[in-house]
Amino acid sequence: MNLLRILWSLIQRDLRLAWRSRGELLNPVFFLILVIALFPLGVGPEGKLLARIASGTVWVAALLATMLSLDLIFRSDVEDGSMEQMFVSQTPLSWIVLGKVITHWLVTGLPLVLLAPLLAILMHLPQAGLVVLIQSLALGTPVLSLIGSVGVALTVGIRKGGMLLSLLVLPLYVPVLIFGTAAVENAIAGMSPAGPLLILAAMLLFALTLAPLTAAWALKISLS
Amino acid sequence: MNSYHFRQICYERDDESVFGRLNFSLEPGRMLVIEGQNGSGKTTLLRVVAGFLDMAEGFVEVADQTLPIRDFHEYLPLAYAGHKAGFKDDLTVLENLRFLVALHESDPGQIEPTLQRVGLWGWEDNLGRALSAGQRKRLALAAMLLHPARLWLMDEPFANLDGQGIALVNTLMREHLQRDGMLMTTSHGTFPLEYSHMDILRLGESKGDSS
Repeated sequence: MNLLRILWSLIQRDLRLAWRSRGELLNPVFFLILVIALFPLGVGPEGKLLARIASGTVWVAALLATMLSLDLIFRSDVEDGSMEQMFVSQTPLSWIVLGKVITHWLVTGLPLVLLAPLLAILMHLPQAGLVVLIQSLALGTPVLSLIGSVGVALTVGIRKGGMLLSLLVLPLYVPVLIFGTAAVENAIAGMSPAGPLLILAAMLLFALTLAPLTAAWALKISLS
Repeated sequence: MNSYHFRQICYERDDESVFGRLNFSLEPGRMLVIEGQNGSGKTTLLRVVAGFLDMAEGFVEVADQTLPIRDFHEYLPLAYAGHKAGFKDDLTVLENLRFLVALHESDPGQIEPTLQRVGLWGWEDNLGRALSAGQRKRLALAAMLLHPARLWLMDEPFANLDGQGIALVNTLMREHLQRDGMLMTTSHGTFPLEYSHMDILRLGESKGDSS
């Protein structure tokens, strides 16, 4: 069985679907830009204050934007029966979950990483922090998608599962938030950001191995 | 060619039994028709066999081994055509089938003949949402034909189809049985064609007796 080819067809299919409903898809990205653009208006244009809170604000906004889009991972496939077809195929369900998480990150996480320089300028983030902000987002946003997939898999069978999903997923997002901002703070203060970044990388590896298996298992329960 | 003997199959939803302990067999070249009133659990039984319902109990005897019903779908490749479409409304007919062919690792060269077979050739560039109810059913049939599975599970295979469509489903079913395939399907009682290779499983009678 050629698992890589199946993964590639799944990602291709989901990217095409994402492109066909791009209006809905861009919502989280717009949300992120709006939050960051409004912050300086709210707290005043004083550069020093903004710079102090820059990394935390960008990370919180990224986290909330990811959460807004989590429902996209499985819901439509469960509702139109595509998940049943994937289920009766001989492909392991965890592999399909992995493909869907990769696509989710490509359409929600990757734009956040690419937008980071713009957000940094809006928030007066000191130069020293920019590269580390991008690095921390690149390592942290896949973790958000992976952890989120478990939460969505558990709540996809429930009609109004939005609130429950937030309650399940937010506590698990806190460590990512803490180490993401810590890395940027370290870099701004002139210390090495390696420690928090490595912890983020460890979290990514941990989530990458366990989240697809857990989400597949949760999905099975949700379907029955 | 193996026969599959299902033993003591039951399923409970919210502590209430949907159907009791059922015993039935699937044999090569034979179809099993599940009969029963609305709500007697016909669809649920198909979903249990497909492996969608994790809480199902019972086991399957095949050759000289016994496996839990939960693991049956991993043992025997099966195709499922249910009430839900099983394809994306935002993809064209061709894009949908290309993905399913990749998923089931079957031959992409079969897509065109299969579409001609089910009467959707000429519609291959239409989005799923642009198809009529009958055409959606035909697309689901095409998806099923492209999935090389020995066991077909078909829920209400004749719903929404016109006369030609019904004839088509009958032909496809007969061909599948002639290839020594197995078939399990639901029906509300009347079946348009009589098959000599047909077994009937009645659901809901024991429930009616007890009440």
